[in-house]
Amino acid sequence: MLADVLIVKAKVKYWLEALLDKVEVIVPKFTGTLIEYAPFRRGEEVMLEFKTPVLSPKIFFFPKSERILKYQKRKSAVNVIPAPVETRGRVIFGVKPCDAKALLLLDKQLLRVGAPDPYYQAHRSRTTLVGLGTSQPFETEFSTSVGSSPFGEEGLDMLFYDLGKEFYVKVLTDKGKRLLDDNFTPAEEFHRKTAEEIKARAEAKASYSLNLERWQKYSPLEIFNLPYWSEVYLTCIECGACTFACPTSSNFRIVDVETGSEGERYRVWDAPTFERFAETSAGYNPRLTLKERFRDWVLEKFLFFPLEHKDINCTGCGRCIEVCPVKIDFRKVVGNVRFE
Amino acid sequence: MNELRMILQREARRLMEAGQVDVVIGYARGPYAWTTAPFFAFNKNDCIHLTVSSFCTQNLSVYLPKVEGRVAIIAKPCDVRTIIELIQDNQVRRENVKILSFRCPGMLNPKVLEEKGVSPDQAGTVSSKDYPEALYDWCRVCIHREPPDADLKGEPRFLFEKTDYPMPADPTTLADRLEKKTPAERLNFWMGEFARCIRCKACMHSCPVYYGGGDQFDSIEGATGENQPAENFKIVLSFVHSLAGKCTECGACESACPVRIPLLALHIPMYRKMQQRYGGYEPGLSYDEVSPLLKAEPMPQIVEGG
Repeated sequence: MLADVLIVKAKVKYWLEALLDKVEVIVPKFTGTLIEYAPFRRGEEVMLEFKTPVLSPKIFFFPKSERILKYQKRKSAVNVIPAPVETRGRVIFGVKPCDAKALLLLDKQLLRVGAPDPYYQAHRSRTTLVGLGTSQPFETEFSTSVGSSPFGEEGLDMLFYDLGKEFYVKVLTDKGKRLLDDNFTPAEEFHRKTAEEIKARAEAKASYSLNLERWQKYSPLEIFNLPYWSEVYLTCIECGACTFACPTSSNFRIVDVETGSEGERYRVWDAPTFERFAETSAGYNPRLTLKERFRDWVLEKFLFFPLEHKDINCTGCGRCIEVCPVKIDFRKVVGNVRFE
Repeated sequence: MNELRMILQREARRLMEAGQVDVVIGYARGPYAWTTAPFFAFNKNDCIHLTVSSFCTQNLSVYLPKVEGRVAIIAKPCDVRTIIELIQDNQVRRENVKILSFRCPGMLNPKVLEEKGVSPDQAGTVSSKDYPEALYDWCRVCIHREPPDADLKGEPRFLFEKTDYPMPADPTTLADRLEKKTPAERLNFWMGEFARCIRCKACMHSCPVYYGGGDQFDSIEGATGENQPAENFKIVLSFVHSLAGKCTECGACESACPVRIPLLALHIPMYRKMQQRYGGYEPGLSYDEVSPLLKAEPMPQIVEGG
């Protein structure tokens, strides 16, 4: 932590308005039906208390659809013109700590050594993340159990604690420090203590016993072949809601939109539960039935990814449970694995 | 709704014990307040988890074509109608299915209840009798509260006559409100709604009588970001149109939508148009009457404009 300061709730609006001169500001908004992250305009009220939005800030780094290149087929060669990368500064206010941690996990998937994704990288480096701790975690949140926290600091540049009339603000990086202005006042010992209490209360609430230590006793292949996987997927209707709401999922598909001899290449979201997700161009599908697709979707997060990156690919935001049309409880799917 | 739960549980258990069914498809308590989750009971002890409340928005008949063996299924009257559709379409055999249904008081929107300050602890007991204003749009327009076919018909304790079915003071639906707008305003509204669509196919996969699967969302035209709202609207409209004469307004698609696009405001006008044009045809009410769109008869002449 570089510094800690206070800001009165009424002043948050003025602070963000001042930021608008330099950068783009994104805030959570109620858009009639849902709470969504959307660009902030001068004079608008800012939501300071809100339930975790259905779609995480992932959509600003890894959008539903992104153009990655243009191509022109000529007689002798193909001209490839990469899509321009955005460089304008951007601040996202009200990021939930689990979503910031999720971006670190996305980094591991999309910024691999040797082959970093330039579009994702550009979005990442131009964005400052201002977190707002979850004082009242929703019933489905289990971030404490997967190494995250409702007040986790990983991946954030600033973290706000709600103290009632004002926010206690932890400044975590230089990027965050650059956002400070005269709306902020120094914090005192009393505020630090209250913030710690709020954090402890929230962490106790956002916990669910996943029994992941039991997994250690078995080899990956043993877990992969458990008969358990042919029971848990039964109610799944193979839509992609959980994947698309998941802040750590980076599944995509490449689509060429071609007109004549020219075309554009897009990267669009895809979901591992979809029937044709793993289908190869030769027509072979290694994940033919829903059982395999559902198992691989769960194990990618809790088995394959940890094997490679030493971290669970889940931050416990609970969105998958909330958006599931048939309310599959993924905490139970993972926590109740039968090893026989 | 408590008593109804007991009736259905007892019957499911009895069928299991008598060896008449291999599996009971029903609802269990969901992972958080106000929710229910589809549940498969494979033995008589599992039956204790079966429940029914005013929040059973999923249509369980979506699982029927996938399950093998003899099945007992807990179904709302609108779900029974889709089962009849499935049987007509040769997806399911009647003799393999035991339908456990009930007189339906309508499903409630927890959001309205929360605004009224109703505690989630009451989720098991609360019904439209207490809070008619919380009824979903599709339950407001529903006139078939009796299952057209059932092996067991449960009755909620607050037996109501057909005439005094609980209705909110203002029974209009979003579909009615949209009908009053100009076509340009309506298009504007829907483009705004479909800009939110994340193309997850939940609407299509939660529908028991839609066999398309949602591959349209993999189309090339919908890949570009700018085209997406219009493309999403087009795809969902094709979904709605292909359900003309099949949709029973069960509301499963709308309640499945993670971004809450009000799909029933498209289905309800379609249902009404079908009724007007084809002599009041309503799908899923009997085994003999098939959709007029499937009959090889001359089409009635359409005189009005739209």
